[in-house]
Amino acid sequence: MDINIDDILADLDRDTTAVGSTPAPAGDDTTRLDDSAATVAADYSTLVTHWCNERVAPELLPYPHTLMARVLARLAAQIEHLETLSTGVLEQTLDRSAKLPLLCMEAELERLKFVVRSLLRCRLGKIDRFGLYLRQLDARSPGALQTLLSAQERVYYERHSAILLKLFNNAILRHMPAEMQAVDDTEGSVSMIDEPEWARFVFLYVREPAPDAPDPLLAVDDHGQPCYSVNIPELGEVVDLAVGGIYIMRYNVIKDLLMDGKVVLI
Amino acid sequence: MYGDVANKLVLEAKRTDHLANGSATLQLPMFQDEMVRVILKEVSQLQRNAEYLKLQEDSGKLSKCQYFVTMLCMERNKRCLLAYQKTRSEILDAIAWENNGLDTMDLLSNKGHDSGNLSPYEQEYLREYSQLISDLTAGELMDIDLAGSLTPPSDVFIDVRVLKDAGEIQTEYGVFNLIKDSQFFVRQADVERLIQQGYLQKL
Repeated sequence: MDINIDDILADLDRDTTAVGSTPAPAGDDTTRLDDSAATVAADYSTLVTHWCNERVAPELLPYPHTLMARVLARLAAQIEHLETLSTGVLEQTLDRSAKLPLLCMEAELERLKFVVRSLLRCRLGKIDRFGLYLRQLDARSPGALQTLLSAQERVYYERHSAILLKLFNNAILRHMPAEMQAVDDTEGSVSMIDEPEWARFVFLYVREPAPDAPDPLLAVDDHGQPCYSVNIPELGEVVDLAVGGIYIMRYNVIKDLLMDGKVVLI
Repeated sequence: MYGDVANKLVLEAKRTDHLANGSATLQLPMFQDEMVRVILKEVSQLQRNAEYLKLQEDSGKLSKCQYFVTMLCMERNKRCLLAYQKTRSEILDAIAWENNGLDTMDLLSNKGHDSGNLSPYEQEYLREYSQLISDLTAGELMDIDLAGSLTPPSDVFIDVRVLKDAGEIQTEYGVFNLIKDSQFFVRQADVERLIQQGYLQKL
């Protein structure tokens, strides 16, 4: 097969950018990660970053609303595009050279679908685990769930907690004495609300800030390297995280940096 | 002794967990209705004890301690019961996901382990949860195939062997007649569901 791989890649580029020209829906950005220009490649790498962060972080991270809207819209458009292409190809000769780019695009599409699927399933798993904690969060600061969860996730969360509670009530709780029927009792010897493990150790990579937007938090360490300073409360120690470095830290120490997109979890 | 039965129930929950994680196919042992009932009875007995102890006005340290231990026992029993039910509900969740929210009741009975292993409330839960999943996957997220495989895709096309007759399937590359023991080279996305349902085996 003597096909130049560059041609195929160029082909793919053209196709994906053509789809990428769909106007991105405007909306409020929830995380700093969303700020980057909405090019296709940048969106993909941001998506992968979100995916890694979500898989490693012990808590549920805010849902990247605008990013996901863009990705899903492009995905749908690309599927449609592929369908028209493939029917066109089939009607012509079944020539291998015409099918290969198509195959590449399908493989790419499957990969993207996998990343999105894995991200969403991971989030659903966390929603199940921290159902009661989320309820508590919602009661404490109403509206917090609006940014934390997507619309579908909210529906899922509401319905799943409802049927789970029904199961518990029917099977066990209604046979209990009245004062012991709560599922979110924090007064007893063990709190019934499962909180994320804030102090879990995570691996992190310190990102370089964008060159045109210098970061006020950035300090310079003893070796003249740019770095972020974090305070570890239980040791009473201040640690410098050099830009470009890889560290292991407790999650609660670097949580703020993660939310600002200054570090990524790996 | 108070708490003994609850201990047994916790061991049962542990066994359930091992059984589900150890084998390739998800399975759920019998719901321990009897044990749950005994524990609930124990709780109401403890409750009566606690009320009696509370009424003892002239109580010294001894009966206060007795009261406290009684409360602890009740709380522990409740915790064990909920843990048992939670373990089972998590396995039910996994079963529902694996079947893509299809009517899991039929599948359960087809696979041999009949739904008699589930308590009536669990059956209801499974039905409702399956409904939730199929609603979720059919909505805006249809393209993603949310219940699909969670291992990263490697090839678009794969070799599959047919384990059970499944009739004809229509794909954009033509029609396949799935007869037992035959082999096909097909697009993975087209047959994902059949692999999950055990009709096909990936080679």
